[in-house]
Amino acid sequence: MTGTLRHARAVAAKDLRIEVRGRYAVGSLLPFAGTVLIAFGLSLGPGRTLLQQTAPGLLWLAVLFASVLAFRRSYESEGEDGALEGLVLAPVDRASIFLGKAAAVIAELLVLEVLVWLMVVALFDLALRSPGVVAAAFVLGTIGLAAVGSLFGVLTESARAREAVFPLLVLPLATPILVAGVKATALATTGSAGQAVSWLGLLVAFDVVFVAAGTLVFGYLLED
Amino acid sequence: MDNLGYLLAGYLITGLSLAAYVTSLYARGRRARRRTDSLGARPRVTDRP
Amino acid sequence: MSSAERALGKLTARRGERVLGWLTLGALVVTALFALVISPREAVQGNVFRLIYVHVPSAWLAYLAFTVVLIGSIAYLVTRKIRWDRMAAASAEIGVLFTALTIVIGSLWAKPVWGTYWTWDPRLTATAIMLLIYLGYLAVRKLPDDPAKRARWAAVVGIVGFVDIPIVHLSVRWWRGLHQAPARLLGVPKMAPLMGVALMIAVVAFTILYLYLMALRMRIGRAEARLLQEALAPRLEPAGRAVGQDVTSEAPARG
Repeated sequence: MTGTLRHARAVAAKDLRIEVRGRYAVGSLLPFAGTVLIAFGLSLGPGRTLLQQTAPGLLWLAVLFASVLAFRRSYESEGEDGALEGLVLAPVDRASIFLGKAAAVIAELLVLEVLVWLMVVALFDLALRSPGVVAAAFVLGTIGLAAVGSLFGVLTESARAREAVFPLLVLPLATPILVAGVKATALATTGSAGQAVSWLGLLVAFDVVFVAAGTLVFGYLLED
Repeated sequence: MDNLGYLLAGYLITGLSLAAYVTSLYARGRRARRRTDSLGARPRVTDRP
Repeated sequence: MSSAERALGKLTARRGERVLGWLTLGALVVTALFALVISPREAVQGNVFRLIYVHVPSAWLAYLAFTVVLIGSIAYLVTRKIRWDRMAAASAEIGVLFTALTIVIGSLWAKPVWGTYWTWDPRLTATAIMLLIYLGYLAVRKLPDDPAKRARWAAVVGIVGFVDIPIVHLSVRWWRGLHQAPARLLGVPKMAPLMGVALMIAVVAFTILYLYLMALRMRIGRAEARLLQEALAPRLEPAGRAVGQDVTSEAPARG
């Protein structure tokens, strides 16, 4: 068990090193998220009420799309020079690849989320109430998204999956995250932090189920 | 009563889609069998002369 | 299996399929009779209520089908026998068909009763998400060329997708503000006993329909697997024809 975690950390460190050198999250995902938010602002605004009401939803949508892109790149880099085969041949538990890649993307997405949040607060004039609950919602939601994306990201090895199948799989499966995340964020920022907590519970349940399931079945996707 | 339109549409869609699916399955089966037979007619490579 | 056993198996399978076919037809006729004639007209909604005799069995069938996909997926990963994958694939296709049907009938029912085709009703919304998940399953099946890889990948989706369904249902229900299970199906009032009988008959009839469709679809699956085997077998080509030409034009890459 500890071996798996140690290897997962190594995989995560490798991915983060690639990220730091390539700066994908900051270089591509952040502008993408910014574009999404500004586009929505233009199409829904400039009336402030509507923007404030829709801000949590737009925020989470941006995070959802960003996670799809992040995993696409994460597994794309494994496609070069047979890196994935190298990982699979290494004497590590395959689950550690799943966990390690998930952890790396979680870190990238969390950084992205902080920056996007600042954008939303500025663009949509969203109040920063109950930051603790909001932060919890985003951390838990990101973990869930990472579990789904890290598992099915393997499929992007197939060119056809890279185009349409990977998002088609991730988005419906991740609907509970979208629903719970948006609700928790909306409730927290409008002062009903107490109600938001039950949504956090749902996120925890999702995370537990999908991290466990992913750990168990990931290996089957890598077999050859 | 106007709502009979929805009732009729519902049952028709059900019946037609099921019939279409079953028909398409039979067609797939026939096509597969025909192609298998036509392929099978060609001589296989074997080790024995 | 010896070739004799296989021939016998094929014969009984074909006859079983035919029997199921006629049974299905009979059961559906009886269902239509009860649904459209014998069961009473509903007091509030009128005759449109009769859509329940198609809507509910379709939904039941969808869940049954996806449960079978789960079973087939797990069984394949454990035993690596391709017949389990074939069962999962067949059931997924049928499940998607009935999920779509559930949604369509539900929408047709909603329009006269609630005034709009789509009301974000928690059950229908969750059903729509379920449809997308298993469309993803079918899409994943198209990705690999190797049957074993296809079976493995599909099995993972079949298991993970199924596990997500209850979470989706719960989250959508909470999202609509319903914290207890909705006591009514699409606003279904108390039903007369005869309606209950008709509904039961419909559910049984659709279950027989499912068994028939499974038998049929699995036969097609076997036929297409056989075709692929034949197509890939090395053959002597007549002079002047490029080797492998037939493979690309004849063999369907179906899963």
